[in-house]
Amino acid sequence: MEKFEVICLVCPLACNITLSVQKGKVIDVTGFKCNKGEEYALQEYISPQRILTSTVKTTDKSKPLLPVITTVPISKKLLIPCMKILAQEEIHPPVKIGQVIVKNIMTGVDVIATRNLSC
Amino acid sequence: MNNLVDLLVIGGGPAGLAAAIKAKEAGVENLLIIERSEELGGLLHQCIHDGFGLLYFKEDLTGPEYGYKFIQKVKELGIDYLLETMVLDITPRKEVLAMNADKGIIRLNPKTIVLAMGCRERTRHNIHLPGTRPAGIYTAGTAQRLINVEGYIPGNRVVILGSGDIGMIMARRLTLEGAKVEAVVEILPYIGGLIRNEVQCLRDFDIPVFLGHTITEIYGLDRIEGINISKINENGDLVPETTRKIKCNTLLLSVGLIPENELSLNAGVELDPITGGPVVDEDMQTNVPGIFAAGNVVHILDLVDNVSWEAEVAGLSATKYILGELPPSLRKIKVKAGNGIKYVIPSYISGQKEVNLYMRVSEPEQDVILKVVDDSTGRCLSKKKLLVVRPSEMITKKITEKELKSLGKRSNQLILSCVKGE
Amino acid sequence: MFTRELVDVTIIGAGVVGASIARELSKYELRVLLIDKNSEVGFGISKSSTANIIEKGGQIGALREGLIVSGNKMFDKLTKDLDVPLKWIGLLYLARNESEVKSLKEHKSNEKKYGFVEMIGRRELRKKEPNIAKDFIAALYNPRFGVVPSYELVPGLVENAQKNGVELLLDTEAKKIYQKDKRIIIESNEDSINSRFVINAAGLGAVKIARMVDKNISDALPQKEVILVLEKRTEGMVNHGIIDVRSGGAYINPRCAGTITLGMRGVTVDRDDDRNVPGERIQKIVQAAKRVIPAFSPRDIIKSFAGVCTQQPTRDKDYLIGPSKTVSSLINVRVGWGGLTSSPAIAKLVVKILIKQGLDLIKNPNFDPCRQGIPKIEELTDEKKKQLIKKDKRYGHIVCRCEHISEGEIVEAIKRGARTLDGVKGRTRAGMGRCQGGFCGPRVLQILSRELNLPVTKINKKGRGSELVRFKTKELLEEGESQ
Repeated sequence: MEKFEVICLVCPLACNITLSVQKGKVIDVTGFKCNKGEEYALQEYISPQRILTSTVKTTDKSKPLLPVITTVPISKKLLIPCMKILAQEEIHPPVKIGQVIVKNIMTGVDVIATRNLSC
Repeated sequence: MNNLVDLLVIGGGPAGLAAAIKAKEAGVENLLIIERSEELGGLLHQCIHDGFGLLYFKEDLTGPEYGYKFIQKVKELGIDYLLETMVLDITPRKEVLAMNADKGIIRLNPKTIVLAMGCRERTRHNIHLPGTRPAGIYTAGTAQRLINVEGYIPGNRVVILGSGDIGMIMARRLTLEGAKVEAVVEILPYIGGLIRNEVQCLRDFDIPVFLGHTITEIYGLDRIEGINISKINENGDLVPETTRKIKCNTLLLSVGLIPENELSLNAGVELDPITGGPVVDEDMQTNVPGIFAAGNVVHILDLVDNVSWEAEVAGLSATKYILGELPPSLRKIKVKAGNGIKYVIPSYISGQKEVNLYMRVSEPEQDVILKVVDDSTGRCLSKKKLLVVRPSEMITKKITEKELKSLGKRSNQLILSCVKGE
Repeated sequence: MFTRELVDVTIIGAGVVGASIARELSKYELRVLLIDKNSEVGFGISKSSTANIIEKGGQIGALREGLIVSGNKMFDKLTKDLDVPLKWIGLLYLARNESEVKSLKEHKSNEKKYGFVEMIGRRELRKKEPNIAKDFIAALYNPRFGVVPSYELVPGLVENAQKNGVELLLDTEAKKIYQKDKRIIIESNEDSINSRFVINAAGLGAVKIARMVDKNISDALPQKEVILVLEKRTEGMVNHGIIDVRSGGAYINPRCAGTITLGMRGVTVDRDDDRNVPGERIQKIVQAAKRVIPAFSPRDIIKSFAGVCTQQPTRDKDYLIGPSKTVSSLINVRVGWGGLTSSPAIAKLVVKILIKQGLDLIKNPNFDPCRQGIPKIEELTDEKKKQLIKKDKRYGHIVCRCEHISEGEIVEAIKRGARTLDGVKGRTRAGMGRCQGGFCGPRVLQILSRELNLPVTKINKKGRGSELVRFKTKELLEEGESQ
């Protein structure tokens, strides 16, 4: 049997939650003080999700980078693969804040600009 | 732009922007923001991660998105601003000398000033880091600017000193950009920043953390080649047997921020030795009438939301001052940091209106009681139970009208304390 | 530009000594070449020199003593000609008891022949230094002690030498030296130099150069000093140079720029590339300084660095200046502590030696001793500021927030030869303030890249191997690995 530790981020209490796992199946969860914690811990074990923020190259020498973000969290495993895809991109201004930079980078998630870039 | 300025805001970062917007909306006509960088927004542009605005906008925004909302407002309201302009001096009579390439020398004598210059980073010399002085050592914020704005990665084998939020954010950023972060070294026995960052920046990427350790040597003549770290015991002494060498070609320092108050000192503003920022009252006014301050220049805040709120108080107060409506406080009650509290802002309140107190505790604790006590009468104005407190997370405590009513007639000092509950 | 074949004198080492010699030689019609292995001038011993203009002190050998005394007298004119700051701050040797007073009095009678030195009592001392600790009862005062920024002095010397015809070659390291047909060949990493005379002013490298020609050259002894710099807010806490004479006592110097440096007596080290600043040393210096000025706080420290100087293995560590035994047209200039003060006098001595060795000297009618420093916009009047900005508006764009240094000054420094971050820092002070380049660093990096037309990844801190940023964004990801 394995133990998997999670720090819950739902509220400032930051409970230390322990999942007991046997043959890939969660058989016990302890340490949480509310239901949200239990849910969070399970999600973290099964498929942790993260928002990805990064930059994308531009052709504008004075503003060589455009900051971007995924519209929703993506699987933690996909963070580095997404970074490699974004590394290939090069954007021409103008760009509007919220504009889609890469549609469906992975698993249906878009990457959007978080600032304007004028010509 | 004419030379008659009612309100001069020094710094176009989040504090300056919020103060200026509030003042403009409250009726100030001749407003000017002076900013040293190429655009408004201050450090928000390089903080490309999210977590901003959760309180102020009830949205999860990135730094640039948070900044955008305020910059848009500044433009909509037609507030004047100068970019790539440096304020060189302020006198106690509010005579301001600034300079830029287009206008050359700019001399102003505004009616009021809001100091919003922000902070600088503590350097290796401030913490007396031993060793050689090679290339490859950066403060975390400078590295953040290089990576997120200018487009350069300092190196690919990185050690980060300090587990504050900036250090942890940069650990993640560098890992995502393809570098290897060999270690995060932290002198205290606990992580300095938010737990969320501990999880999403360090644990997510299996970055080794050395708590209770410090750097004892730096190697490399031209470029850093490695460091030595050692554990320190409870007395703060090195434990030599625990020394280990970590090879790296880049060292990032995330060892604290210092409010940038050179101009404040020139203007005769009194500084608080604990915060390093101006002593302010509930109107965010300094000891120099008509000079207000807000944001990191006063004390280092962890949430930009609080910066904006604090700056709005300053902007509003500056407006009242211009209109002659800022009465000198009839009473000046000192707000003092007692047991368990590192500092509290503002340092003075009038006792005549509600006010938010911002403070930090000295140590992380659980199950504590936050108390506000009237020192003159010994009466406890308010008592609040807190489950968890950390030095890295600022606490806001509102002093309500009800609580103010129980102040003694001759009360002149309030003491804030935060100790383990009975 | 003349061909390497026809060089009359090659000077190895563009530190304060080599640069002084170069400038002195440019007063004559000679083809002079100044070479240095570093990427900037003055990046050897001169880079971390305490840069004090001294007045003797202790048993130091006749040659050295004479050169220091004459050199001291030459600094007023030199700094005026070169437009380099100089402050005669005077030196106080402090005594806290009768025994220390006695040894100071003995010291005084030794010094007296060199000029004005006096013993002062408690009251006078307190008038001169109001912040001094209460236990000091007397001091020996010498007014002819000065401070000069060596990071401005060396570029000033080199610029003036170049103006008067000296050619400068950087990143050029002498690898092999030998005689051929009554001339000297220097094989460097770049190419060969064929020179009639060679001056070895290579500082830490002087022994290595000397050994290329002579066998019996003994090691010089590297001496390391750790120096702490206090920020400009501390200006005024100390008015004079101070030496606390007890063992482990502090050296305190207020500098021209308004900072204060703290140090202690140097220690002999094994390697001349030892630049390690030990933590305990910083503590010791702070404690020693606080014994003199209790109000000093370690919080005021903005910089710490180690400087290594050479001491010659001679009696009283005297200087060794003279022709090589094997190749008499190679003049070795092996100095040490006091080298900066002596440098103008050393230059004159070297010329005398060259004449003795057969160099014919014809005065250069076009020699101009004057050099204009880079204008410091911060120090100018409003009127002068306006004029300067009108001429070049980049002087209105402040890049270094802490020291108020403009883009104009940085560009000018690069025009005058700076190619590295530290090179710009030395000539302008950009990056020497409270934040130590945290704000201006990335901006200076971009300006260097633009002005030198080099990619940012090729710009370095102090020479090859010290590149500041190694990769462009996304480069590490494109490699396909996370390492």
